[in-house]
Amino acid sequence: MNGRGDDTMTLLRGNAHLVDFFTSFDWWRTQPRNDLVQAPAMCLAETGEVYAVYLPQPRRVKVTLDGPLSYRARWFNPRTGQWTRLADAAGPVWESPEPPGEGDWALLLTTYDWTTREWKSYFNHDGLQYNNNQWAGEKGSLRVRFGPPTASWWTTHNGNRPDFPVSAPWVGVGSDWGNLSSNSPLPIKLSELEVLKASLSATVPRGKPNQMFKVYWQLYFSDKPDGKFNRGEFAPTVYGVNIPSNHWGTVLGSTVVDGRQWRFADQGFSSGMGRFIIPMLEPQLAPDANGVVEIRDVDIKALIDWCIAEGFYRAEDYCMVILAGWEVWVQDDNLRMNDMAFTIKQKGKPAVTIPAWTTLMTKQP
Amino acid sequence: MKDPGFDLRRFNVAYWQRFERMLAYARQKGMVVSVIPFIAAQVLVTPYAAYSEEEKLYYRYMVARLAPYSNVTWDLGNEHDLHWKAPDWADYMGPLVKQWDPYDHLTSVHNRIYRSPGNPWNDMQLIQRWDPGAQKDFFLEQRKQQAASGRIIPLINEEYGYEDLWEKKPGDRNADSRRRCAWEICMAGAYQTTGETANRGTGFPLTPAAAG
Repeated sequence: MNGRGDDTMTLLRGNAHLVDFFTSFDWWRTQPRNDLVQAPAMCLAETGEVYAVYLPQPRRVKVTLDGPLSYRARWFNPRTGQWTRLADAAGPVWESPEPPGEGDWALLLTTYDWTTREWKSYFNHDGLQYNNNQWAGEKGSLRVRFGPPTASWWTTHNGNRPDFPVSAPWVGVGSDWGNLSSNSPLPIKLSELEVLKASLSATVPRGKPNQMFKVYWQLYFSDKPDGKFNRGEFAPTVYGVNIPSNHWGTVLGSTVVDGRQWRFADQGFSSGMGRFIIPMLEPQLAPDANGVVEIRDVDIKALIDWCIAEGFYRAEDYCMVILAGWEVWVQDDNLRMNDMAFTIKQKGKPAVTIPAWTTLMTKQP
Repeated sequence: MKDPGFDLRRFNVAYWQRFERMLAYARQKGMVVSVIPFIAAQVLVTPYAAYSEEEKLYYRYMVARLAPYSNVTWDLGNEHDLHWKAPDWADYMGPLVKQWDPYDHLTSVHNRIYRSPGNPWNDMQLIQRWDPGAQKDFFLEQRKQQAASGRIIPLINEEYGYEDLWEKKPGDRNADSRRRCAWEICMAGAYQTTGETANRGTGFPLTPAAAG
């Protein structure tokens, strides 16, 4: 293309390394966070997930990391494209060693090694619940993602809380919570909600003693479209094993929706989060021969309406988040979310289904 | 040259076929091509008038022919506002291209800042800004302004200089300096495209030596 047009032109070779670096993590989910490093270093981060640091000069850099988590750390040579593994990095402030040579350098700190497609050592499970750094799918401007694991999951796997081995990952859509889908149709005022249906398919563990787990949807309500989730949590639950009887709370009543019976339990008010109500499917789903539980087009709106009629929630409250989640109280066990979908329609607007059914399975690494 | 004697109602099919081969090859290499049907600032041959039927025919044909390639984006007119006394032209052509393109490729125009909600055809912001050290603060500021405007679209530095071109001193615009530019752009949350100059063939003389 250039007047020279020969192999002495090397810019594209250099830019190919740039592409390799950026495609080794979900660059589109990061934001410039130069406040986490010292100039002239530059940082892109999705805090708690990935930190990409560029050093125009070969100097050590301190990176402020999120929480007590550990990250896989690697040098990247922008001039050659070579990766060099470092010892794992840990917060709250991690200082890099001296760069391996002259020139500019990059660092990548991740919770997951996208180059080798391997989980770190504490990801000793398979199943989608641990793919917490991926998009589950996209449709239009709506985004659905696997959410980050809860703090309890991390503390468990960091060995700090062996007495409380809970993992509670989830997938969901919603307003701005946990970096969920900021362009989703949520929040929607409950009185404006015309359709809210949910489907899920999960493969559940079986056969071990002391297993405890549940599969559910969870919705969070607020009194303002931009407020905190102070008006309640709502968790229609379709499957559970060995859940203690006091887990569900006080029985409020029951209703039948589309031929399915739901019993409502009240866990009361949690601090700052409003009333926590759990509609339980009765009977709960039965796993098939492959351990799969599946249910489609559950009319979540009808369940919400029952609660509004009973005075537990208000029509003027807003639904901020809806997610499909599961909790497993036993380590070294797998519960896979095979698929999920929500159909959401606000009055006067077209219905949206997110994601398309089967999206999750096709997005596995 | 205002009138090179082109027949504006007959397309040079061999030219378009060559363009398609280039797009297919780029696609094989995982490269996206910014298709620029018109460059104003370099006073290349532009034998049709703004808003003319011939112009519309040209753009319509280009979109119909090239849109099936997944690796194209549309840059409607490079520096369209510098030499063309048609200030609203992009707001005329942008919606037409969006309407014609069944695949909804990213569409924009170089190099004026369009980001208001009134320019919905503009899917990304094409920017020209040269040299290392000039990228980070500029693009971080652009991100702020976008956030304030309520319309957040990809920021793309479409021209940050060319390898070895127009150096103020030897080496200051070599491949390594351009590569550092690219890193700086990406680390500021923006994108970049890479181009090379055409010093021969259909290109225009870039330097006195080349012109000679």
